Amino acid sequence: MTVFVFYSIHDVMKAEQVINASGIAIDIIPVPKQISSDCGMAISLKIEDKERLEDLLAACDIAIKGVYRRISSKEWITDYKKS
Amino acid sequence: MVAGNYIYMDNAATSCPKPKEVIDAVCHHLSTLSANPGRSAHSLSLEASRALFNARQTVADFFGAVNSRNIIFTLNVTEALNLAIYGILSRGDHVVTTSMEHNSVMRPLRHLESEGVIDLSVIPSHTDGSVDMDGVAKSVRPGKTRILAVNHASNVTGTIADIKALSDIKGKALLLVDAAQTAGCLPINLQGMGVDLLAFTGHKALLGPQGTGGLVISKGAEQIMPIKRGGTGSNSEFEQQPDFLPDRLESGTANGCGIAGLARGIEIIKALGIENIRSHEKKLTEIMLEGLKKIRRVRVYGPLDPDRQVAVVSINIEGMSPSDVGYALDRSFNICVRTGLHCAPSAHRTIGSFPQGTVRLSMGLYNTEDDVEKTIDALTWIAEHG
Ligand SMILES: Cc1ncc(COP(=O)(O)O)c(C=O)c1O
Repeated sequence: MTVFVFYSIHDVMKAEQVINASGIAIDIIPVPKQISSDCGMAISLKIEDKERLEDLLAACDIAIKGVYRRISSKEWITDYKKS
Repeated sequence: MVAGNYIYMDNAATSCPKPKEVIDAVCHHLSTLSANPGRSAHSLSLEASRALFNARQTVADFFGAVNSRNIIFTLNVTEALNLAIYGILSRGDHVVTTSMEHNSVMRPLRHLESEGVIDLSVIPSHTDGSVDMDGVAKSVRPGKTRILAVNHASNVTGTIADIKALSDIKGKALLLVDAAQTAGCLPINLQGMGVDLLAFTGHKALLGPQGTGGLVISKGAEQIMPIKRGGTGSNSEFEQQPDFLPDRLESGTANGCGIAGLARGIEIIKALGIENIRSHEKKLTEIMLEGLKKIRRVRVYGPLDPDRQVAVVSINIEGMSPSDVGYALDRSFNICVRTGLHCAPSAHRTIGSFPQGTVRLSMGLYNTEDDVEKTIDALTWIAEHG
């Protein structure tokens, strides 16, 4: 599973809107504790769809705060993150 | 339209009645979507977040905003104007405004002036309420003037300002427009009109509930600072206010059900077509102005031209106080109007009706020609017998 984290709830909502139109299957989940203590939400999807989503978000001018990958039930690795 | 047994001629204060769809949208939100938007990721919170997001998009599309994140929801236009004024201005800035402004612009500016923060030029408008364009152009100081604040239409005379022309003479200042009287009854496009900050209220021509409004922020005004700080749902790990929009400027739980009603109001307006609403209100204004001309002892203020005003007409009956006229309209004819100074003392000084004020007849989408004719008949009777 891959998780995309955004700067604001507004951006998550906007991302959801454009993703829905694209057909990529996603879920909106609470940001996992291992990633951040933020009480907000994140978008999770299959690892295969990561690049498609990155392209889509870039095309819609929605900034990504970070992308993470789950490697076991408790472990996550950071693909990249911005401040 | 008759609201109950009343003829409602006070739409410039708040539009009434509200469309059933707006009432339904508020009720629907309260009964099914009242979880907290953006604070959790459970299904009900998500639904509430989506509703708020969709409303932001609706407002952004309606006003031609660059991005829906540039819509900041507020309680009303007063709060939006305070946000723009206190969020932009700093020590040493110069501000230009007109004498036709509502106290929701005038009081924050006078406050900053009295505190020695800003230098304020209030340009006297013409007696019909129109902006002295030369006066404004001459007062703008290159490099010094930070805000040019004007209403899109006066709440006293209905006089419409040429916003595009003001944008052409503002220089590097930010053009702050108080659209309380025009959002929902005149077409507004931020980019087309050269507006930097547009403040609107939800409960007038946008047909929404009270407790809704907002500030639309153009790209060039995005540096605006918050006047409130607090929880926003995003970035909760930090004790500092987020620096991105809309969170930077919107703290605390939003008026979710009210905003749902506001969004529905805007959808109704879009479906009807704002041009059609404008022509309906122009027609009512024309009948009102023509009818008033025929009543002896009535003085009408403003441009006296439906093309140059929104559906707001201020009058006085010679020898009678505005409050007596208003009282007679209400108690003898069930016609609701607002009398007095309409929170705009400086505007009444400009048109020559200070301190007694005027009787303000303000029509809306749901008024009919029959309402206007009945109002004219009532005023005719009052002028003869009062
Ligand atoms: C021109 C103008 N500005 C500001 C306001 C204040 O509106 P609100 O009470 O919704 O903040 C009004 C209406 O009362 C108005 O007509």
